[in-house]
Amino acid sequence: MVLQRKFEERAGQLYGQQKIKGFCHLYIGQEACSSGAKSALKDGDKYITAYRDHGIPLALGSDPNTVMAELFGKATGISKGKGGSMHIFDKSVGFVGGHGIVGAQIPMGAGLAFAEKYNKTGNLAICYFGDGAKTTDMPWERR
Amino acid sequence: MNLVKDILKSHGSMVIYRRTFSISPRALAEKTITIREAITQAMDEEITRDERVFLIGEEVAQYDGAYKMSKGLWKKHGDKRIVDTPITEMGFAGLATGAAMAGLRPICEFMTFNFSMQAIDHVINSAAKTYYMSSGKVKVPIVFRGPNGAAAGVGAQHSQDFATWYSQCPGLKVISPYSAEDCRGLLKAAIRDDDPVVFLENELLYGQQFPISDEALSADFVLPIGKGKIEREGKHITLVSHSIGLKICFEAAKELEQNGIQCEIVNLRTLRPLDEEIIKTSVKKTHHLVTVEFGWPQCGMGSEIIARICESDAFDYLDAPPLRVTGADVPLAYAKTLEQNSMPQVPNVIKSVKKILNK
Repeated sequence: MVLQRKFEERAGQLYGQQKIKGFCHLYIGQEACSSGAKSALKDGDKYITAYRDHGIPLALGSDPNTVMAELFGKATGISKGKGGSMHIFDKSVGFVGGHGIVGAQIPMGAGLAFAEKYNKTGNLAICYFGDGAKTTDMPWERR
Repeated sequence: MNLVKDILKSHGSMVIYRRTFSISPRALAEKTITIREAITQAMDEEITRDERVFLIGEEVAQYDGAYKMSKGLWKKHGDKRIVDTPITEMGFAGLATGAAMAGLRPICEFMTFNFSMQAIDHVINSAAKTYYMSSGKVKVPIVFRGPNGAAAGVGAQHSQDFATWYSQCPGLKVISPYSAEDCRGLLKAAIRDDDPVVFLENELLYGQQFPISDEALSADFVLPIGKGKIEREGKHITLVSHSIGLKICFEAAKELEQNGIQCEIVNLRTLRPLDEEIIKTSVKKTHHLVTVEFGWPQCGMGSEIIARICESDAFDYLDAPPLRVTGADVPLAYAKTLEQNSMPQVPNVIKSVKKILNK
């Protein structure tokens, strides 16, 4: 949790200095959501979220250097600089992004769970969304 | 003398009773299948071959498909592989995309591509762009398929041709087949492809019979995505088209032959990636070009093809400016005469060819 907080404080500072371009959505205050889930879940479970996606991979064990490099658009970044702040992906820890459209992650999260059920793995998929996404069509369509 | 009696049943399934009194034996009949059969078979074979493949969409299971494209599949493969959904394109297209990211290989059916607009965010933002945004880490091996373009008398909101909307997007492959062989080979290739593929069918062609070879009926018959086909060779002018546009190209070519004009017909088969080479080679041979499509003119396939020809060395081989034959720039009307006259017809192709050839 401390790692996430320190990382995000630094990212926020750099964004204010315009060293990070585009968008930068900080996970400050939500560290418990990622860390709490990680402590209760197991390897093999899947995670998906929208664009506030720095904290979750850090909680799961992604290399913070590669996440920071991604914010700078470097080729050494976790998405080789092609995704940016909103498109962090790390399949090795079960993190399936990093998506820009509010609410889009909800049916996709259902899809991840569908695949686990289809393959009878017993794994879970956890989908993070906020008060903005709750009013889009997508959570209601999912019912 | 042949007597043929046809009985057509509703819901898109055709039952033909044929009584043939023939004095002269027909030549060993070439096997034919309908587009519907080609697509059903292709899906059946791929679902049998790879346990990760499943079909999802409205009415695909218990109803055998809104257009009967998945007839018999639910009975054979069951609930796990053939999945009915409520009316929620954004929901099931998103779910299918997520499942593809997790390693399954969904075939996501849109009842028509008009309804894909409900889900287009998932086709483009969630599916098409993810491989790039994740720097190659997350593949999305999904096929979005269904009928595209005009049907008969279904009105403007149910008749749009989405070929160019989708073919503009990097990250997607876009296929627009014509014949039964195209459909079998390209749908199988699409399902086996690791990229998201938009597979544009045509409802008016579903019941049409096409000759098919034994080779094309084999379980591992795949056609290469991104390669067109010369359907008819000719030396005077190149006609380039896709899907149902080919039907009027064939008819026009037949009529023009009687005036001594030989048309070469290029079936694009795939719109993205576009087979530039086959078009350029043909244009260098015939020196004249007409593109034919049923979609709207602005930013259509014809625009793209002509731009690419002009940007290439094939431009120097043109003896006349190319022409586009397209659908009319109007939402499609309901009334039959208006509808028919809003879509390209054989005389439109003939007129364009003669204009270019100064005949």
